[in-house]
Amino acid sequence: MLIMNNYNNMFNDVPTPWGMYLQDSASPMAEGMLEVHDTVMFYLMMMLMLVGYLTYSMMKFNNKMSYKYLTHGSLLEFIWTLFPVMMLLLIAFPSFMLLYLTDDVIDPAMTIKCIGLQWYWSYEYSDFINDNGETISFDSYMMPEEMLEFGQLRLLDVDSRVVVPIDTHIRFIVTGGDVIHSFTVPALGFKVDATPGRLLQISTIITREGRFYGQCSEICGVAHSEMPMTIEAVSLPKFLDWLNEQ
Amino acid sequence: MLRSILRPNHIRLATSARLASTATAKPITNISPDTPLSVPSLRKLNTRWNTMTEVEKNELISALSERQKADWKTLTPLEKQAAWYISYGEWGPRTPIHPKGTVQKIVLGVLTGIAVSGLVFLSIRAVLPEKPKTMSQEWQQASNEELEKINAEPFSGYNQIQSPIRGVHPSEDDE
Repeated sequence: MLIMNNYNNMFNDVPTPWGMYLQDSASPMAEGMLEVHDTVMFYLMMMLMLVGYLTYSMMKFNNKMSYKYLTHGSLLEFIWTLFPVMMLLLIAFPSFMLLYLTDDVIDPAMTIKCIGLQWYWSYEYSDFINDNGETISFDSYMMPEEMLEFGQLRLLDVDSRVVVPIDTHIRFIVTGGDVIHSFTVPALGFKVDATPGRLLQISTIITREGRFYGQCSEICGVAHSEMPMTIEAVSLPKFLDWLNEQ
Repeated sequence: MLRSILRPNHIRLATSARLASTATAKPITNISPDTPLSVPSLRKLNTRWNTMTEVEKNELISALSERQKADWKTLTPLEKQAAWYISYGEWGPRTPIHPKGTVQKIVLGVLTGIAVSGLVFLSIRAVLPEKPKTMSQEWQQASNEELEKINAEPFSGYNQIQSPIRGVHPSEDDE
């Protein structure tokens, strides 16, 4: 993994052509996911090498490289039963810990409601009201190809981004308006199904400023590929400025 | 007439073919540990074995086992080959599951499949409409600049470039 990390340049807050690895993390949750991914990959590599060598020894019985006594023996059987059990435990513990940690929503400072619709996202900042006493809400559509400004990302940039402050506990409440969609932002470690009739929640603290792209991840119809989500994380003063403009 | 119904033509033909194939092997009469078996009865045994009758097979087996009672060094090479074939040859339970050439057939089939799918892929690509305007290097370079502005890649490099240069390259334009 380390070698891969050093030799590719495919980390990003956005998908990158021929990207082979996960996007850079921008929240503790995504950091944890990267960590678990790398750890599990390490165990998988060890397992692959061991099983590969056992298979080789079985197939090439009289080869210099093989060890023929590896094919039978009670102690050996005991070990090769225990070893996978240990491996599974080593994989299960960190992943379950992470799973339950990501489930926790503790005392969020602000809440954003995300409603998946065919084929756009509708956002509602329920904690803030405008001059008319209405909550701030807007729809976010993908920028069509003919309207893209030079350099904008096709199928990723939207007309209105979700602006959020960094270093703030934010809760996203996700639901669907028609069919099941999925609110997914890889850099933040989000993937929440937007199911009609259900409210699912996920929380995060974004640790750096940036623009984080995601795409609907539940097949939802013909324009499933054309309802991306873009989260723009800014400093608190900038966020307040943005709020005032709404 | 009844005989021909009971014994269809193809069976009769098969029987006569079998008899013809074993016709070269004379009946084994000289069964003794000291006398070598006749060459015709052993020659190309692996090609004839499956067409021989049970009687012929048993005769040969018993003749060979008689011969093996004497010193094995006195066995002729043909006899050794025949004894080995009867004990360990590819017949009966040891008949190979897949006939010869199966691997080649499978490899050829898979390669043909890959080639056909490649052709389908290329022909679909050939009739596609023009690529989106973002699939040009100029656009992707602009994307990179935009991403640099928003500090999109804080931990290592990023690159949106995947397309060849179309038209005038921006750097050439500057010159």
